[in-house]
Amino acid sequence: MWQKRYSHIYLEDGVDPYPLTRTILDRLPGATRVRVADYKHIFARGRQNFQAQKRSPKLILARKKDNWIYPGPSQSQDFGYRNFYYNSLLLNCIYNCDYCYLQGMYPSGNLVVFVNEDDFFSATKRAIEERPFPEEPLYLCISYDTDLLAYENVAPYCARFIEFTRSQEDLLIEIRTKSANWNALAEVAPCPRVILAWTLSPRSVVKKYEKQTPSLEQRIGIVKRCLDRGWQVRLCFDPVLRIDGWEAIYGEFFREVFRALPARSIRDVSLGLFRMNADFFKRIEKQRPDSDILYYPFERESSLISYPQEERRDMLSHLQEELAAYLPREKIETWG
Amino acid sequence: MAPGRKFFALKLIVTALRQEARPLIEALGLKQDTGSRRIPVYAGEDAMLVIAGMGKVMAAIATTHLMHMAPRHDRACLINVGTCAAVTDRLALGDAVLANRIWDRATEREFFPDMLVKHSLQEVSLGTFDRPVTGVKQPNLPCQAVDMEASGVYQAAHLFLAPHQMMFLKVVVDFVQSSTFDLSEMLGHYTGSMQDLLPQITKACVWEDPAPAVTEGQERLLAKVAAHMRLTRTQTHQLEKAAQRFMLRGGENLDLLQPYLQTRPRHKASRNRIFSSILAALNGS
Repeated sequence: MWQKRYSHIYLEDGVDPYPLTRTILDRLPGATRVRVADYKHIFARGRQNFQAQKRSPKLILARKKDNWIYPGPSQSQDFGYRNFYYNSLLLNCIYNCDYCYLQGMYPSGNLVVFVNEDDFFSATKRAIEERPFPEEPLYLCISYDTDLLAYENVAPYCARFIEFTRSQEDLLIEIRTKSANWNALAEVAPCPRVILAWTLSPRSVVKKYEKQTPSLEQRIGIVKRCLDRGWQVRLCFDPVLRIDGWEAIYGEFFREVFRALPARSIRDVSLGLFRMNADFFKRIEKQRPDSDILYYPFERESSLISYPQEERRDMLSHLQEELAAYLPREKIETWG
Repeated sequence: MAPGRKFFALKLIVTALRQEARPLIEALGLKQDTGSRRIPVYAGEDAMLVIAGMGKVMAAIATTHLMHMAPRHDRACLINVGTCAAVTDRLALGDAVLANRIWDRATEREFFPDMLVKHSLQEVSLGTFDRPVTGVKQPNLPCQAVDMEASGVYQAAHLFLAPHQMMFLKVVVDFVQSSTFDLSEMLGHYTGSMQDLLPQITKACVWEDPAPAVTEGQERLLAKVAAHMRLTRTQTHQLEKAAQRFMLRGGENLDLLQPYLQTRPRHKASRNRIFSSILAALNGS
């Protein structure tokens, strides 16, 4: 009934000369190509249905004309790095997790790839030079509102950014992912200034709320291989969901993770409870009548919704306690 | 995404000419709606059709009229069916095509219907012109076919519908480089392509909802409770959301609402009190 994913590639005027455009078109040879004067004419149309589009997402190749790098927002995880920045090489994600804020943040379920990679590299170099705390590196999250590694087979941005980072002594990058795309990393030599960060969730959460993502076993498998190769690895237990029996489920989950992975080799861990911008949440609620986790009696605090304060406190202290059995507390960064 | 509930969307068809409409009216078994005099509308069980007249202004007016007559928009699919002239020799007379881009020649604006449903037709970029196009050289146009209505239909329909609810089906009846303007010959090509067009129209209108938390029977119960209790629109909406939450959080059924079908509040204050207790019960507080 539905067309396959990326059955259509929309090409913004001016993207043809970029090498990344050629690479992507070569990797999706059967796709129908459609011209668009400005990518926003398709990505930012009114009245789009994010979930309907997720049944057959399209790919839009565009040029990012400005804002190649953004300062990190204050409510995000900076892991103590004061020169915290992020960029948007891709808009949207190939996965469609029930709890994902992108459903409320973007007007479209389609994926945009910005092909002018050199502009991103130049902007990053400038930001390194102008960073406000020169004694610290520039900490840049390159897979911030997306999952870059999951799309590496089509748009090989991770490999290119890792090579770029190798040449920049004062740059530290984080690549956050749920992907188990080992092929994307197999040929890339580890770089000490690249943190590969895996979001891990209990098996029941993956199955019910993280559809189309690799299983917990597959994710643990790739983490293990990366640790063996000498990569810096971060584990993200975020978002933790208050599901029935969460204490036992997450307790068993941590046990399983640290049975499989040597805790001492993990760079650090991020622990965060489900939370979301209230405006995004409102938009998502209208489109997702099918997901129970969005119908919890949440509490709104300024612009964020999350579990009621008492429940948050209870959950965080319980989970921190559980994690402390495997890792020193200074390695656990907590959000929520 | 979880498999949902399949349903047939209401087909809202816009054509320019009576001759373009006729085979569709016959195939879908539509009857003229005598209530719509100035703009001819035909209706059946799961389809409505409007005859707009030529040009994008008439098309936009007729589309808006049809949208106002349609009983609901959330489960509707708008289909603009008509003829076009080919710009490229890649297309042949009688080819049924589907527009993946609509370009308005006068304003230079472009519009994109979502291409979500599988089909077997050729896709084209369709240019909408304000007057018939003749003798145009192919390299000058950023489109493969031209018509006179699509951009008007899109802009009017987009006020009511999402881009995945729109489809632009055209039949090549002419070439811009060598137009004959022989209407009967053109309509012959159009009618001859109906066997390609009709299955596509049906296929495009089989949709799927996300698996609903509340069944149709429960929806009826909620409506009954709302009517019986004389709830305001806002309260009705709050009741529906609370019931949805209740079911998604593992509620077995909505039987706890049954007693409220026997209660008829005498005044606003008592209605509001009872309503709060319903919400509390559904929210588990």
